[in-house]
Amino acid sequence: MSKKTAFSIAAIGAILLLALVLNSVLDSYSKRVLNLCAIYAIIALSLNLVNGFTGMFSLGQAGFMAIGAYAVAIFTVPVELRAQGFYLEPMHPAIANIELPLIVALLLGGVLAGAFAFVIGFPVLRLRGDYLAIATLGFSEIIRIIFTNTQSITNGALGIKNVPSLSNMFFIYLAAIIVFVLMRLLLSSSFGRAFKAIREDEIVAEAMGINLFKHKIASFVISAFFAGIGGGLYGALLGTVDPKNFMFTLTYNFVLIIVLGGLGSMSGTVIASFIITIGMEWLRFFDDTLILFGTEIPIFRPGLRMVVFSILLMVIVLFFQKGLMGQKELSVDMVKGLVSRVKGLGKKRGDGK
Amino acid sequence: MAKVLKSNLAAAIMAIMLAIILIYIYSAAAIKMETAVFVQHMVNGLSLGSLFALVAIGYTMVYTILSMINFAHGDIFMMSIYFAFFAVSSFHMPWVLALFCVIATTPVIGALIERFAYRPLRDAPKNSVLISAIGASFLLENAATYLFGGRPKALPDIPVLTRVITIQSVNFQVVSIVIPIITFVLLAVLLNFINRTKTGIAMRAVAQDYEIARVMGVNINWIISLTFIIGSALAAVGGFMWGVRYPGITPTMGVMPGLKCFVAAVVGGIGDIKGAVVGGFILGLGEIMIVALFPGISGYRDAFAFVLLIVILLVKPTGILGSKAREKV
Amino acid sequence: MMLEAKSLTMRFGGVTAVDSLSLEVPQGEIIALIGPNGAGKTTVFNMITGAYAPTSGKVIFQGSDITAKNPSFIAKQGIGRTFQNIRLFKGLSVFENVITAKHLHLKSNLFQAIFRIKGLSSYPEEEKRMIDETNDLLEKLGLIDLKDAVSTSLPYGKQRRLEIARALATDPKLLLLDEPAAGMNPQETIELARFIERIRDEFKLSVLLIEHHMDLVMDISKTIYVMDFGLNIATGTPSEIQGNKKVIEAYLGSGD
Repeated sequence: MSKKTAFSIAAIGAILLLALVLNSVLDSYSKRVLNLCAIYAIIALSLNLVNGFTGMFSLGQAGFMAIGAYAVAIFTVPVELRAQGFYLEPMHPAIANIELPLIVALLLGGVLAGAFAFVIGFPVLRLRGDYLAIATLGFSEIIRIIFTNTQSITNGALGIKNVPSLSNMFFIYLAAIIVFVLMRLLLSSSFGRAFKAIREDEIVAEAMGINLFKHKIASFVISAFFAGIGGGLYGALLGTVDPKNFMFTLTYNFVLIIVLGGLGSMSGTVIASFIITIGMEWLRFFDDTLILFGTEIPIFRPGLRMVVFSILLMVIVLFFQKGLMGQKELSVDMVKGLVSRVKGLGKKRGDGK
Repeated sequence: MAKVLKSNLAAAIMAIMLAIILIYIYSAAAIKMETAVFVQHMVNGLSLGSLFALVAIGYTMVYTILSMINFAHGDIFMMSIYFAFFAVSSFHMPWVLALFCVIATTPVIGALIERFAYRPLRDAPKNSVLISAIGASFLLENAATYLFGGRPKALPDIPVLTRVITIQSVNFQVVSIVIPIITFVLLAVLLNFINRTKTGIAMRAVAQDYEIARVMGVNINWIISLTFIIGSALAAVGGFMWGVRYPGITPTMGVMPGLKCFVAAVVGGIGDIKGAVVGGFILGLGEIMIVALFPGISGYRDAFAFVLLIVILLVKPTGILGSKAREKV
Repeated sequence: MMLEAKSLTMRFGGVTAVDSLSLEVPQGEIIALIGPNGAGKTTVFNMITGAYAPTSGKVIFQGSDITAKNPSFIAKQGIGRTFQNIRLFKGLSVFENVITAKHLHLKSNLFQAIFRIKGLSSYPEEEKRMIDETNDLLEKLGLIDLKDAVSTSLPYGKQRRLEIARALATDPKLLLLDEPAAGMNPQETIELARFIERIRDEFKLSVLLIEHHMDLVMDISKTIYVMDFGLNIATGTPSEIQGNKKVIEAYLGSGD
């Protein structure tokens, strides 16, 4: 075992141990926010695989998430509780009595999302740039439209309630770590190099014997699979799944995360997921009325948070195009360098005294 | 070249007419739709199509000049409907005055977005521009939620436009006839402007190659701003009429029509103004007729545009009126 | 015969970029394609490598028809190429640029590459082999000291060499070089000539070369094809081409 591998395993163990401890110490609100961070990280990583590492521009993540979330919602609600939600039209008899454990439903959601991506990938991945963006966005909306209309399977616009809610930090962080490790292995393999080659220059990649279509569809399907898993966890965390949760504007959150973290950086994506998710919570004070010196400041009212959020997105795109990490990954050396630089600064200041 | 385009347009219009006749025969024979009902659907389809066309022109003009999708265009459209709402319901303007106010104010947003979200990225990678466009769209939606609230609003009734008239047992609102007329008048004006005036020619030059146009002394920034202004003004006309016809003004309402209108622009052939109009009509008629003919799938109405997009991109990626371009190796 | 192009024609709209060009590259030879700018030379490369589908004509590689096949398929058959305007994978290091070109011969599938369990997956051995071969190649081409440098930070000449290294990493039998000496001074050009001959022998290649430096072309090529306005106006050995009136006219203009 190399030093690097040993270090990684130790880090993973530490994170899981921390998750286990925090799970029993923290209040449910903090747990929920931290869980959301990990789930957002999974989905943002999946989006970065396509957009940051393979150089395509997909905006379909909300749709793939919906598939995963519905797989979990449909199959994990206890059979006896279903009739009460499906009051407009009873659940289709073929699925009404099937109840699956969460893990199986999650995997099913991932596989279904991947299968859907595979089918739409054939026409869609021949498109370039913004056409691909529009087409994937279109399909993400089509999924939502389908789910709104298949009353006997998804309960239509009413949504599915009573999804056994998931708040176990250990489980969610374990899932996030598995996704991270799998993606790391993929990207460090020859296939990952091929993806990056396609990102850098499609024509050259092809001339070097890399089959564009096969690799693009592989990247797209894997991304959808992980987004499906992430969506399933998201559905379980919310406890209620309805089509409005999966408007394509949801995808914009992940676009912001990968842009902030750096298109093409996995560790950047994870860091940005935490910053954005916690930041969004922290920004909630913008939505509350603020009273200073006895007068109410009129600009603080519901909605301001999202305005600030979208302005932040614009600022990052316009002025920090590389994001936090660019295409680099966080490494021990990088942290050491950073630490020594900070120390250097402190020393200089100390000398100045 | 102009000849080819003209014959293309003629072919497209003939194809649409042929399709309408076929749909008519089908609907009359298969589901015994009466002629009056059919004509009514056609009128609805044409007026929806005209609205799409007005917004689609903005997409196609921006795409021609900057080769980017102005994701925020649908939200500019949304803003114009809010402006119409405030002009009519808060300021009690008569509708003609309100329409002019909306046309005057909406382009400001278009121009500001161009100035602050797109201009700084003119030489940046395409993906950055795309993300910025998404950001601009998101910002407009959130700003609208913040400023106007999320609860749906509706434009007060404007009786002159919403009056129902009956001709030969076909019922329709005045506005359904007004919209296509306005659309065609504006299209004629726009085409004349682009083909005949100096500014219009400069616009086409910038679309060809803006570096060369710059060297030739064209004020690029002004031309690009103007493109956004014209596109937004047309969207504003569409937005006003939309508000008159359909209730339910919300901050995210611009998104779906926006996406559909982009599809219309692609279907007609991106970069071609007449194509955008043809695409708008195809989409509007298609949507209305699908709902009319197959009520069972009316819930999937919004999916029609995307299915059409995929089909057209696979069959003829350059659109119905588009010309062919190939990538350089 | 390594490569045969049979009356290749390429029309873009009304423009005929290449007009029924035929050429042959025998096993182990260096063949040159020359002509003024815009004569259609790069278009020929693009047709051979599948980047363009020719309007008519055939490309036969080692006896089998590869006309208009997918470029990645053609690369796998054993045709490697470089580009006129250097096109490296910009964000990647020298080493990554080269090892990426080894991907086409990978036998392991995606799952084996992710789940690298020794004994069950063939990937770890393959990865080790690819790394060794890449280091070996960089060693042979004198780029080993620069292996971790970002590709675009290299000096111009090294970038050209890296492009060749990347093409060689695909294990080609036929190497297409598009203006390898562009921007080089006479001394560097002479070195390049020896270098091309050396890799031809060392990697058992046949070479088809587009070039403007006449010294280089005359020095190393067995046969020269001259193109002008899409037409093949002359074919012959360097000495035959040197005295050819048509060729001189094409380069200097007809003079009237």
